[in-house]
Amino acid sequence: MYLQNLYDLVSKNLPELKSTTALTFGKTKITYGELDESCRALAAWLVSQDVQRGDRIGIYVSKSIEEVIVTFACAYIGAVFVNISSQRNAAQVAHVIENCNIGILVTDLRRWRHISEASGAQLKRVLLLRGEAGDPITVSYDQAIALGANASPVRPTALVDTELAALLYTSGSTGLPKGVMLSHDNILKSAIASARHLENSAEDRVLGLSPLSFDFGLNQVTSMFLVGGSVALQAVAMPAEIVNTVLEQGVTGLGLVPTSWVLLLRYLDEAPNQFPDLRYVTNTGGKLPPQALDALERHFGEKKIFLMYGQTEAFRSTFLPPNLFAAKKGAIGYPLPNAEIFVVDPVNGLCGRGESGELIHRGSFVCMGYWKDPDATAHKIKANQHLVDLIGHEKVVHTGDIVSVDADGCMWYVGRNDLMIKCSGFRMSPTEIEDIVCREPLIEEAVAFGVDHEEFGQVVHLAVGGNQLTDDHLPDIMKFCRSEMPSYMMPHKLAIWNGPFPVTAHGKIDRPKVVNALRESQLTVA
Amino acid sequence: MTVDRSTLISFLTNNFDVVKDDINDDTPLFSTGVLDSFGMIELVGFIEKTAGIKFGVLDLNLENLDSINRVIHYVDAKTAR
Repeated sequence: MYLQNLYDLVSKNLPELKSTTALTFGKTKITYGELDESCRALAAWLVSQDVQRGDRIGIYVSKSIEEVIVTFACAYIGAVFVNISSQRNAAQVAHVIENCNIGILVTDLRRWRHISEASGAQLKRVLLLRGEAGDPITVSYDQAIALGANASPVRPTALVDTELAALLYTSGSTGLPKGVMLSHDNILKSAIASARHLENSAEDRVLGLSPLSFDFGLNQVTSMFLVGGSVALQAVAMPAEIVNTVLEQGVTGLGLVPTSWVLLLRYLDEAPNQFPDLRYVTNTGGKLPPQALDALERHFGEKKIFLMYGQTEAFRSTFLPPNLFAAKKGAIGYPLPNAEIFVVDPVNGLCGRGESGELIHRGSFVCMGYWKDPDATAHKIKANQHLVDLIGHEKVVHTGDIVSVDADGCMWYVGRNDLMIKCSGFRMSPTEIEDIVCREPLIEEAVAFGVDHEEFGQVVHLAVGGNQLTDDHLPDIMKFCRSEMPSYMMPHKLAIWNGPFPVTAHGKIDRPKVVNALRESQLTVA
Repeated sequence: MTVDRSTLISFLTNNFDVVKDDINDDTPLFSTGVLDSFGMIELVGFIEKTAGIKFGVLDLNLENLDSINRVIHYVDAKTAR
């Protein structure tokens, strides 16, 4: 079957795999046939609500089978799905809803209560997965499915493969979260590349712990649907619960963010397990610390270990083939199928072996840009002057990640060429954090930076300055942060800076000086 | 300080997007997404500090953590030993 839009991933399994499990969640299972039926019913309801091709639908729920159904129902009618991380707070959700003009939001009663004040006026309809609010704007999911099932069926909308399928909100180098625009083709090509290099088949069942608002979580579902495999959805990241699901559901592929890997590997040090059905393990959302790599080899040495590197704007770029794990432990490896990777030094151009530069990604995974942000798009996805002789002015993703190339052409992650902080898979810019905390009236200026952390990869440390500020304000500032920031952004160390921040010759805040002073703890710490 | 119903509720309402009316003693905290993986680390840190006990990695499961009642039960069993 020819794959042109995301819904083809469901249709291609019918009728042969109609009775085959597509998703599990705890004890609940859903087959491809049932999935198709629910998606069609929900699609009919969305059409009855006057949803048009290209309209954005917000999906702000915890892990569930319904989340996948809503996502694919959107694809069926050519609506754009916007899965919003359940770790985002009311202010961020309001930003997303406003930024891409979401008219219909799918959520649950508890979340709706939290965001209705900030976002209610903007929304036309709210679909509640759990609970009933009793107000005219909300409708229960079950009711919508029933209405849709009884309505006249809608045909899949004819789409072009380059049109927008999804917005994944992530932090750009400045300001508020930006919507990374993914086309149907971007997502399909990523699914094909994943299935190819992980050698996925209909026998595979992956653990679906990563949210659909992360490229990896979405890709787990699309790549399994591509091969007719299944996803064991999992809401809870506790190590014992991961182990239970892997064993009970016969999971064959396990991919986790570093935070979850560190905890799971500690768990396995105390309670080892063979995981008879497991075929491969992999990482997402950042590189694993060295101790975790050793533990991974200790506990999964008999399985295939795929180390991966990628960025939402180009899905995945590189992977380390399992047979090289021992020799190149910690490397990000070689390009993924259907990706071309260049390592470029801004002055000297294309890097050879033994050199390091910025990782540049070319190919079908390169996203369409950032929603309604042409400046940020032009900065990230553009032609590279050093590549013009090779590929002309083709636009490529400039990741901002510095990598080195070893004597075998294998790539290793070195660091960022900017100040971006990455905490448990969430990327954020210092400016984003500083802008938020400076809304507290007593705070005049702030410096946020990332510090390495065993469980989260990095965590935020924050120095704030202001004429009136004293250490007595620390608890109130922490409280302010809690109300305004999502959990991954919360400072793990907060300090009051006495007097103005040091500045460079150009009059900018001298960040390294502030960072060093805070590291040496000459300041009060919360 | 001990870990009881009121200290847990005030910890949850002060630190997370939780309103008192949202939860009772048996409301699932993790399996329905009231708390996430960051919440888990914070909750465990709070319990360890408040009750003066140490959480083993094997104890990080829903049985011990998924509701106010379960946390209280776990802490009681741990401190009684």
